[in-house]
Amino acid sequence: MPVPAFAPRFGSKPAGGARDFDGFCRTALGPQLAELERRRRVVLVFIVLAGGCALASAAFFALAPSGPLHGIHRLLPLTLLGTVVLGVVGWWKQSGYRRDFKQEIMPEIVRFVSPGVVYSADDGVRQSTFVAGAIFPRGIDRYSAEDRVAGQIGKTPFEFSEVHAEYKTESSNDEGKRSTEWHTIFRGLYFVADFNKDFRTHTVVLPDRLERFGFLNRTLQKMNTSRGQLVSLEDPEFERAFVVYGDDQVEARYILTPALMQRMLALRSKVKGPVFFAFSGSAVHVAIRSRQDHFEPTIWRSIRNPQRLAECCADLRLLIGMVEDLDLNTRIWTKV
Amino acid sequence: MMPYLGAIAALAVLVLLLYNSLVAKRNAVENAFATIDVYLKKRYDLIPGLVAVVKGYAQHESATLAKVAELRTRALAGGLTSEVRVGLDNELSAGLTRLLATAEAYPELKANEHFGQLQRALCEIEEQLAAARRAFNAGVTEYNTAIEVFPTNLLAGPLGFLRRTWLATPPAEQGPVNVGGLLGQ
Repeated sequence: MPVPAFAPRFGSKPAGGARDFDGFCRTALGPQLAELERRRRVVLVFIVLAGGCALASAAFFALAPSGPLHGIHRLLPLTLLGTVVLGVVGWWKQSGYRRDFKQEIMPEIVRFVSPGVVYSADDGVRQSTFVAGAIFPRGIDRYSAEDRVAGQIGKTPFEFSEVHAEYKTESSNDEGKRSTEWHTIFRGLYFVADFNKDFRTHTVVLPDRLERFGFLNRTLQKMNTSRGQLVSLEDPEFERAFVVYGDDQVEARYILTPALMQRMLALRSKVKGPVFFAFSGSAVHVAIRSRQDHFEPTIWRSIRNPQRLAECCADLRLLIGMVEDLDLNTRIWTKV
Repeated sequence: MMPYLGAIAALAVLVLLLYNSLVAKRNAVENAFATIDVYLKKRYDLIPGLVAVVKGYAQHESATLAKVAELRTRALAGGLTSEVRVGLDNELSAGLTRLLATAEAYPELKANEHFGQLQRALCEIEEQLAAARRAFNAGVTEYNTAIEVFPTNLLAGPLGFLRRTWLATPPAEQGPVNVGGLLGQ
């Protein structure tokens, strides 16, 4: 099954390094990209041929023993076999292509964006970390994470990865047959970094979806007691964009200074989508909802397409840049 | 008969709920005020150490040091009205800011590890104080709103819930910070 293209989700060009990155792709990555491009075309051929066989099978089956092309249906076993064999080989080659992209190209791009930061295709943010953030408190039945990037910028250790957390509902129909349905709790990018202040309680900042209800907004938000106390902050723009729940009113304001609130608003406009924050265990968690797969190659477009690689680079820059965007390296308090 | 009793019972429950919510809001304000006090006390505790370290390196700052020490003594003496106390604390904030800024002019002081720790601790306390003040003001806003809107305003007057005032920044602190002035330039 071909995987989706690079997500142009965040869309922005890499700040100030567009030409550098193009040059980097051409020089340092040139040979590997050329080889992967060759393999991509092979995969494409297999998939197209398998598709062709499948179509032919369907056509032969439909035409059946009668009609002007009588006898041609005897080719059906051949085309079916062709579909299966070509499909399996194509799928196998595509997995190899995807794996090699992640093992050869992605680490280089990550190193280009930020030396000293490490990429690992098969690792991800741990489920315990995700649960500790408590942004999505629903019980998780299935959790998968991949494409982990981790390192330290200045004094701040951080990590992020793609995360897909789901819960299931089971039902049985009239005949007693059980069926399981999976629902997504969260799918997207999850970022965790050490915060520059120590705190003991838990605070969560969610997109304010009830804004449209106007004055009833706060009353409705207050009724959500499962999240802790509602914290009303002074910045009107921040209050329009987010709703804050916390265990302690003072500590929530100790964390969410007017300066940090402005930075969070700026980050939200950079990301152009729903962003969730949590402050827990002296760390900041940021969840960015995204339906697309990130950091994946596509077989339908050339891997050397500069725009696609640049978008991958831009996504990495946005996430790694969150450490500076949230000013986590200003360590003028007792936490060093 | 029964419907009347039912209506009275419902009204009583409503009054009870409204009264409880007013009490909760008033207590939230008191809690925030108490938290401010906690951090002010922490700040007072740090000052003798700070004065001792700075005295060793920054002989020219003796006037500021003396002022800060004197303000602390007066604040701790007790028996002050709330307004006087707040005024003292604001002056103390200004004095401490000036002291910490003057460290820029004394490289040996800046390099002193103990001074560095005190600086960080003071910075943290200022941040916590700011958070506590903000929480207090938010609590006061909510409380004042509750005693003024219908229907809780009907209860507030007779039951002695009085309006509270916010903690305001003194006019001197409202302008932009003159760092040059702080550094004596």
